[in-house]
Amino acid sequence: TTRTRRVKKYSPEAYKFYMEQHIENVIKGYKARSSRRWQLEKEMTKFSLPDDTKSEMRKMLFKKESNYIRLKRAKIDLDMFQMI
Amino acid sequence: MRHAAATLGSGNLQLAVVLPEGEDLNEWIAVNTVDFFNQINMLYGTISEFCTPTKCEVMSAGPKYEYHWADGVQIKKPLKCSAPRYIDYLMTWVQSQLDNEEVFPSAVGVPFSKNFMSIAKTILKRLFRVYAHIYHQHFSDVMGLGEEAHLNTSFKHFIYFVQEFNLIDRRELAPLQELIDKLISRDKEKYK
Ligand SMILES: [Zn+2]
Repeated sequence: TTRTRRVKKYSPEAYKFYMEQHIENVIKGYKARSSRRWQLEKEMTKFSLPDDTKSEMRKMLFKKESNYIRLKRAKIDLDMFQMI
Repeated sequence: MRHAAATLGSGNLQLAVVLPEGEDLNEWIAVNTVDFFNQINMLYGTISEFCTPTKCEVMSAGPKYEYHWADGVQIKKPLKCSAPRYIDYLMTWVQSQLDNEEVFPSAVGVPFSKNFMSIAKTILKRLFRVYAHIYHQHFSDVMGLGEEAHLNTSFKHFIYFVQEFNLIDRRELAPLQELIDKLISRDKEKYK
């Protein structure tokens, strides 16, 4: 019997482009995230915030970052690269 | 196994997989798992026409390793089938997990279930098998399409990730252990 395969075909060009962009984004993303944290620490020190306020602000940043990656995960849609 | 160890020049992927301070472990595992699924899905999609029931009668990773499909729910008794069929079952099963809000919640604020980690580990263990099959049975197809650097980089990133959090048992990695050692040692040289 011939089964209909459910895995989609993708063009090699689409895959290669996707991978090149993706790896760049992974590295950029990790650097940007580190940078945001570093910026926050710098600002908090600059304004001599008390420790418990600093802790609160860190928590807020962590939450924002976490929500961001959740939304990113939920939005990824590869269908635009699908071969017709 | 002779493989060109070409990779996409980028940056140190090993640093990029580390859990960021303050990040929820499950959230981190989840976003990366989705990423790797997408990569492997696309990759296999580029060579799927070469993966036929005739050429790949069984789901194998070289002569020493053969996999039979079972998901414990719809297919309980391990099923010996062709690689295209196995991978079809596998990718469909993974997709269904990713689409399941109870496993991968998409709304902000909804927590992960207690068994999330165990499901994630099963997903990653199975995704590894797709890499293994491609490397062992379809590397010449990958080379023919000029994708070897992309495959190697994708796989290297995957390995750093699963090793960082101990997500795949070492025995499961055996079909590609030599390649893993080679890719990682080259990075150690580069980032010394
Ligand atoms: Zn095959």
